[in-house]
Amino acid sequence: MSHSTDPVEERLRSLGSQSIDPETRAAHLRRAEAVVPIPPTRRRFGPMAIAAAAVVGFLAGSAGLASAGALPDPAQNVAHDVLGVVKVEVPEGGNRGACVAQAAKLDDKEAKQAAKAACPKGGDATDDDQDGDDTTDTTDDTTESPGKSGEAPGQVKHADDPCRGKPAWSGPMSKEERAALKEQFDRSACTGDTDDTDDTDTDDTDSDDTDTGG
Amino acid sequence: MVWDDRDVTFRLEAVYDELAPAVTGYFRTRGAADPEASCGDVFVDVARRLDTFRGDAAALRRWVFTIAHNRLVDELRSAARQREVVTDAPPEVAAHDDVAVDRDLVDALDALTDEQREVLVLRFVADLPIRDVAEILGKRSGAVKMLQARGLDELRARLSDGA
Repeated sequence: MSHSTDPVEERLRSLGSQSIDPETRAAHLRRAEAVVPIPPTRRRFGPMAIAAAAVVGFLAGSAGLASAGALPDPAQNVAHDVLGVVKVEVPEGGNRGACVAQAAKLDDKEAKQAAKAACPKGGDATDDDQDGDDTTDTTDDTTESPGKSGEAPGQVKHADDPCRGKPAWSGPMSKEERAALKEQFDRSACTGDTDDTDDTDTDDTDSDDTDTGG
Repeated sequence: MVWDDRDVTFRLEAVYDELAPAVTGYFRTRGAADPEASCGDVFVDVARRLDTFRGDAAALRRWVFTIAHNRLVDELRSAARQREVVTDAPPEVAAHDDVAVDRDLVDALDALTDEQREVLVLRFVADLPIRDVAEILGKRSGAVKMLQARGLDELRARLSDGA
């Protein structure tokens, strides 16, 4: 930029060229450098790297929990299916949640506790209800739902002895049904006489038919 | 001087050394209460946004003095508001620091109209071309030229009277 030789203009220009005191300069630069934004290239980890690390951490944690069988049943089942595709052995989740929920519907306290205790625990109970090779279950749990004949899920029924095990009238049913069953399976006669063993099976199926009114 | 993607801190120092004397002179001749502190504030603003600046030395000078001008306008407005609230207080007189300044020239500048003074200071103290002065003040180049000519005439007359 060419400057004129006008003395007034030169005097004006000299007002803008006076040197800054070194201490003032240092103080100004200290203040200014404190607010200089860090350029993105200086950051050790960018947002994408942080997101990727979070995803990897989540997957590793989930896989660890799944291999320990510590996930909730539905999540454990999903992990079993997904990791099975890549040949990673992970225990399958049970159906304890549904079993416990169903047992909780029972009115009778003893029956409820027995039903809950009989529910599969953790991932090692998958054989209880799904495989069908449990001989004790298949003998009795053919058509009954828990509580209708007083039997908890998975519990062995004393089919040959009506005087043992849960009474047939335990569980949700109408008063009329309960009275009829009590009359039918009157345990006052259970003093060693076990003649009415045949009634248990037939009456169980009857209770199923009349239970819908609940 | 072309600014590339070198270290921002290094660039900040270079920008400061290049422009801080003119920025301080701008505040001093425009009646800022503390010209050096105002200059420091300008370079804090510059530091915040220097990494996003793209342009040559002329654009950088225009950018820095736009920041300085806006800061001065804010300062003068807030000073005027304070005077309105405290009506008994006399108008503030800019505190002149210890730096040896051309007192006759500064006093002669104070006697000009505000627009004339602004044009002359941006034009010669800040060393900006007429086009950039017009852009900063939001005026047309012709109006800036006229203000400059009248201001210089007035200044010469006052300085010759005082001599």
